Amino acid sequence: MFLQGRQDTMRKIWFLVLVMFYHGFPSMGISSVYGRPRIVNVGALMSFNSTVGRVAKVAIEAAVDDVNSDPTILNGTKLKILTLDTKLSAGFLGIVDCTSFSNTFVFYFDTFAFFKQKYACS
Amino acid sequence: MENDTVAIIGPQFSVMAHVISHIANEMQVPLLSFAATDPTLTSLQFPYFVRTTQSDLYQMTAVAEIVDHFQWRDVIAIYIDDDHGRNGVSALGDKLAEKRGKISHKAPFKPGNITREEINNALVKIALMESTVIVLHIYPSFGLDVLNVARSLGMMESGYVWIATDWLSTLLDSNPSLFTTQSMNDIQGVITLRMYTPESELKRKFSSSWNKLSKEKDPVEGPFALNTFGFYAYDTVWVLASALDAFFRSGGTLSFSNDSSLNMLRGDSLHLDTMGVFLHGGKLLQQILEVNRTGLTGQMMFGEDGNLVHSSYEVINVIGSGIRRIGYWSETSGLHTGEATNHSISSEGLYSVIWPGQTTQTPRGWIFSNTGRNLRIGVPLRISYREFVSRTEGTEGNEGNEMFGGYCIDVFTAALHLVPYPVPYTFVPFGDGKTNPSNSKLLNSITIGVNITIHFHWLYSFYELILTFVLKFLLICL
Repeated sequence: MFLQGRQDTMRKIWFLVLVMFYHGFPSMGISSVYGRPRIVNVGALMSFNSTVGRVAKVAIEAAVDDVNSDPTILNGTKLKILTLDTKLSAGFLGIVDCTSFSNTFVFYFDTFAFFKQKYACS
Repeated sequence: MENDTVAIIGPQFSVMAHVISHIANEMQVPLLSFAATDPTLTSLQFPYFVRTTQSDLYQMTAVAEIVDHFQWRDVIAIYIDDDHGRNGVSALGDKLAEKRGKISHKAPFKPGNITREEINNALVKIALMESTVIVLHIYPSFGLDVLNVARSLGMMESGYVWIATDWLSTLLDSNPSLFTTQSMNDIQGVITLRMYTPESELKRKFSSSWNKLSKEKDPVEGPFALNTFGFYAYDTVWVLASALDAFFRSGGTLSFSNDSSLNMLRGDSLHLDTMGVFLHGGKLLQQILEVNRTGLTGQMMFGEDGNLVHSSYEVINVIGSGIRRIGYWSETSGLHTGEATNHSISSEGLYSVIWPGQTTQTPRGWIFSNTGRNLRIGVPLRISYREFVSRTEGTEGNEGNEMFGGYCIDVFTAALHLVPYPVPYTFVPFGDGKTNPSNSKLLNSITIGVNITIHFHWLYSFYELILTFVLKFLLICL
């Protein structure tokens, strides 16, 4: 059981390496927002249930409110924060725990998707 | 493409920061971590990792200076053997070496859940060792367990020194109710560090609104207490906002390239084709590194090594049902007692500490261990004045069982009784027993002839022995 988990983990790591390897050269489809965008997406990763994470989550949300209500900074652009709970695990698979999917590749999907702000678990 | 992410705040854990940094490099998306303190994260390997909190490199410098301040040389490090623990302890080793100290023993725990049995096994080993100065660099979730087991093993008695990195101050700040629990008994006399953030109107306002804020943002758990990482998390958002502001001002645009090469892997099922590389990520990163603003944590500005400038820690002693600040450490001024080094009441060093065992006497930092080396005493096998020193008849030839007697030996053993700790020793006979051996040769063999490395500890114990001996002698004479 333990070995199985370990193998799975190794497989995941290698898959990640492969993704990195193939992901070298941007080739097509550049999309841009010219001028100041209305919204800027920012991701936030922390463990909501930890000593540090619990405090950080509130502090970050408070800071975003303060920035967005301050007219002297980022004039006209709002910060939008999407937080992802990495659970209590300090390790590599902390992100996996948060997904409601059971797909093996969810981790990569989820991590990459996180950068895209398309998916997240609350 | 307003869906794309321009930056990530976090991750919280150093281990995860290593993994995510690889992805951040590919996506050219800056990571701003308010809590990942592993010193190696600011390496050239991770250009997109920005640490918006203090690096353990400085925390470990502070620990090394505390060790040096109390004139200890060897320390034992207990840590979790992951990126955070291992790299922090490695930095400690480097910093101790600069002060001619060292980590004499490393006690790593495997990442994940640690059982009391594992803690017990590790501590029993440590209890047999020479050094009694223990640096505990661990996560808040396990730290108290280690100290609890330590107390049950008698390792919270006088003579021991426990230096906990900022996990302990964070835990105490976040759980004020701890001060009234039994756990306080386990941490009496422990020294811990806390990232120093100067007092300011901004900070005071934020702290006073915290209860309301935490209740409002987290109705289930809140309200809960604030800790230093909260200040850094808050400032991180502002650093990013200032950098984005500058980024847009200088004409930066949010351009993302869709990387079709990812489709080769799994087709559309993973939707990797929707991933975009932030084309101006490098420019945003540059703006972040150039930020210079004052926030809750004081000046937020990055030095050339990618770490925040003006690193500083508070040094805290856990006493009774509370904590007491015994001084500060800063990158520029080392240990000092006042908040600012130029303050009139500030002086070098630290205020007095109450150590484990409720003593104010600074622990020596080492004991004679059962596994250590014995004090070797050369005994000349003289043929004259045998009443001063001689080998007991009939015990010669039995290596290790030889017995010696005489006035000198009696004085020596009497003096040893006065030393407040056990001193294991062996007598090493010198000479052939047929002629008086040369005293100068005996002296030579102590200093250079025989391969005896005179350990700092031994020198110190000789010094103490001689002092005690002289005192005793004077008492007899008087």
